[in-house]
Amino acid sequence: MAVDIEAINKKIEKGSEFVDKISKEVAKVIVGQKYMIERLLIGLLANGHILLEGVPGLAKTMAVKTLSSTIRTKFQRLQFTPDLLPADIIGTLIYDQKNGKFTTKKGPIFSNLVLADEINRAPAKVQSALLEAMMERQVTIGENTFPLDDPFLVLATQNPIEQEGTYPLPEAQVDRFMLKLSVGYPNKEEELEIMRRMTGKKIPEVKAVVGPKDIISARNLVKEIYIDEKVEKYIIDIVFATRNPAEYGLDDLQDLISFGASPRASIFLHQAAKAHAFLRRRGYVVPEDIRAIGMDVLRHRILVTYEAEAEEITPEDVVRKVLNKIEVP
Amino acid sequence: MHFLFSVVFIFFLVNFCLPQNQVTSAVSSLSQTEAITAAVQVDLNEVPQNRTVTCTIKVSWQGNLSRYEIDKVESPVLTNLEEIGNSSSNSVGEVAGVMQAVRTYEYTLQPIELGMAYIDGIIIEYTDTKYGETHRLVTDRLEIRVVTPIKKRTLKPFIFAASTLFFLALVVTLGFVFLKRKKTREAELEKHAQELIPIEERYLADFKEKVDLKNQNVVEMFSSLSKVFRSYLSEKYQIPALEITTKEIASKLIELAVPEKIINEVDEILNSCDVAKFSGGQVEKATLERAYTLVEDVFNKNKSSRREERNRIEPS
Repeated sequence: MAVDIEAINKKIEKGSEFVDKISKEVAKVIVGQKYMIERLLIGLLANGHILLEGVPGLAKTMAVKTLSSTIRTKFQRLQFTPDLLPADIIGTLIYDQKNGKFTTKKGPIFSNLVLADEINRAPAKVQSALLEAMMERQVTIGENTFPLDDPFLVLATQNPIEQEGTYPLPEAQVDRFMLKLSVGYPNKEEELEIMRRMTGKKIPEVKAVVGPKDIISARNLVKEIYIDEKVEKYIIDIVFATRNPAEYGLDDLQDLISFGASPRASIFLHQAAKAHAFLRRRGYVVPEDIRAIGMDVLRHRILVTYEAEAEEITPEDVVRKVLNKIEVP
Repeated sequence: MHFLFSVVFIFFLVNFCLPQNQVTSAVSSLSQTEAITAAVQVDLNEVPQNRTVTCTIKVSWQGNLSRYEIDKVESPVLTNLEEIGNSSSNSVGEVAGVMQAVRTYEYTLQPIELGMAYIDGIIIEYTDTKYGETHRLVTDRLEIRVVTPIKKRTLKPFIFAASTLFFLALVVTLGFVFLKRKKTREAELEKHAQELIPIEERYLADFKEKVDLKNQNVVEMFSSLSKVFRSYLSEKYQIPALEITTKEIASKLIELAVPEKIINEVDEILNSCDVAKFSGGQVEKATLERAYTLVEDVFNKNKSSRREERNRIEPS
């Protein structure tokens, strides 16, 4: 059956107008970091949580805060510390002396956008509580289960250089993030602009230009984006190449990969590629979308062996090799 | 008593103790306490024809060492044997507190033919200085069986086998090297011949074979077109065009300073292929025809630019 791409394209053209508005507003505060902003939007559109990794001072937190300011939604920032408790995030039951009953006090997780700042500073039980809520999109306090608001997006940051007093996220939990972004330094021109803007008289203000309904309808549009079987097979080939590299002529990776990407990688790659196509105002997915988003979806799902670590081969190197080896359809 | 013991001992030795070797002896009858004796023995009773046998004569006496003087030991009379060497030695020692003189004569004998061989009694002439008398001792006749000669262990068979193997290995190696060189030469010739044919011509032939404008399955034709064209770009510009996206190909071509017109055409071709392959919608035949013409155009442009370049390099 033929797909009416023209109709989808028109819908996308109309439904993606807010993307430009958001980008314009964010650009008032954030200089450069287009890659990061685009991935944050992909997370927003594909309903996938994002883990941002980068050295301090790269505007990770500011980017998330600015993005949330452009959307008329509830935003909560949680600073993760070693003494944080699960109840501090999800909420708890409080005894009301007036009526002698327990009442539910919902935690900050009951929000649309949650910034989990320095997620690796909190102990495992707190991380677990958050990650469970991320997957199930509901929280149980006492005997009652409360669904989380829609849209619900967790944007977590972590610092790769400070390992003292941190609790690294277990691989199984990192897998729940759709994207893991590696945020890099700005270039000279960008840094000059950052310096001027941040030392100026007035720091620009950001307006809310989009509501939660727009986000939800955009998500529905993203779901409508056509993905051909050839592209789907391309996704499967990429994911399988991380599991059985020798079958794809990547014999040199065979001993370097301890665990390949999980089926969640295929699902997220599928969703994120659609969102990427949406941002390009295209009603169908092309291999370019897969290659563009592949690194961010796969880098935290591949475990390299000790041998690879000894040879200083990172999961990023493995993903790069896989993406450069698998033939596009 | 001592003399009697010596005789019994020698008799015992000859008959029972040395079954492998024949030992015979002769004893002088002139003296009892300082008797002179002669014993003869061969080291082998059976000797292969191509080996030698040693016949040893020992003349000995005890007590006064200067009492006897050996005057002459006659050469052995041999049957079916040939003397090829001899030697003699003297020794003096003490046996049970009594001095003893021993003269040893050794003959190395070579058998002549198969069968029995004999060493006749050997005559030893000596002088008893005590009485100034000359006496003779005669040893017994010995017999030896000459048997089939033992095959000589030579290195010849080994050398022969080794040299044969070496020769065979050499032939095989030379053959292998020859075949390999022939193959390489053929491959080089083929490569050279391929180089003479412009890459565009080869791909154009492949392109026309795989992309049929009359075929109703336009999407499939776009897939074939894309595959052939990407393969051409890979070989032409040495880029991984089969593994990268349309956008990446365009970037690589810009890096390689490919003429803008070509880049635009490549971009248009690949983009129309992407739309046809991945949009899932109906693709018009006109789009395929347009892409087809563009591919031909790229091939022709590159072919003529190559010709111009070659003419510039080789003006003759």
